Amino acid sequence: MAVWLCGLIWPRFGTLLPVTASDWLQAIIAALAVACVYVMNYPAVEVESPTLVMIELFARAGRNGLSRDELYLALGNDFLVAPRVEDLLREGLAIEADGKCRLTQKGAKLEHVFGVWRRLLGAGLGG
Amino acid sequence: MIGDLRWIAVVGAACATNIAADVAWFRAFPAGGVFRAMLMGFVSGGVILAALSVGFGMSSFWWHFLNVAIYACFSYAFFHWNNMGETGRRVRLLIELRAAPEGLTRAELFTRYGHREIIERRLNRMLESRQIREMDGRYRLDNQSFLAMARIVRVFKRLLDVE
Repeated sequence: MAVWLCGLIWPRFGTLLPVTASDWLQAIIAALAVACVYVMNYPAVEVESPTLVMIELFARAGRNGLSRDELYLALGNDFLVAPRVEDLLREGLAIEADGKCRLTQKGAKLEHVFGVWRRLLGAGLGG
Repeated sequence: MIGDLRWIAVVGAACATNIAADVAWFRAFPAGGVFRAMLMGFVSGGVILAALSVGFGMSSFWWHFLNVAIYACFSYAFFHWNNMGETGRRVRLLIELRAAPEGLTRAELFTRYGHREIIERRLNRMLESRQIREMDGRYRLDNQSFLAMARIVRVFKRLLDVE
């Protein structure tokens, strides 16, 4: 829309605009694809990646490095799992009642989508 | 004027090949891991994209540029999708909850999928990709590329104020 408006306001810019319906469709799909890439990036930035946190810990430890036990101590369930459970509850993918977490219909549908893909791939449990 | 719609066939075939080659490669060589299968899928789709683009004999720079852009974006989004299934903690928690319709307490969830497994899986992946090395039971950074990535992500977190 912005590009189209620019074309109207500034005629020379208009010569760069797509001509046919096919060209327009191709340009719109490309713009949507770029937007999709931006959206797909967001969860990676929003949530702490355990791998990147571990990399930062290794970098801080320097030559001494870290043992498994030191990693277990630094990154417990409270940091790695509990916030993700809270995410599921907040996003309505699960509910917690009587001390137990259960999937909602929305959560079951999302699990089904990933489950079908993982079965097609022949992959086991991820995580 | 509708114009030439052959780009849909070119991009569609490239994306479909990417998915098919990814699935076929992983099923044939599961030990190679999901990421190698994704790379094979990307390369296979790219070959189809190039072959069909040449085959159709289009000379417009923008026609090719947009096709490559759409394919690259699709591949990137597909990588993230695959990655979410492979490493996503929320996806794994959904799978665990699905397997227990009567529900799970948090303690039960942590037993089925806890911090030790999360760390173990990542240590193995980082050792396989030579990001880290292990000596005398201690793990050290062996490659700066992931550290650079971690710093870039940290900058984006600050920009978006999500820290």
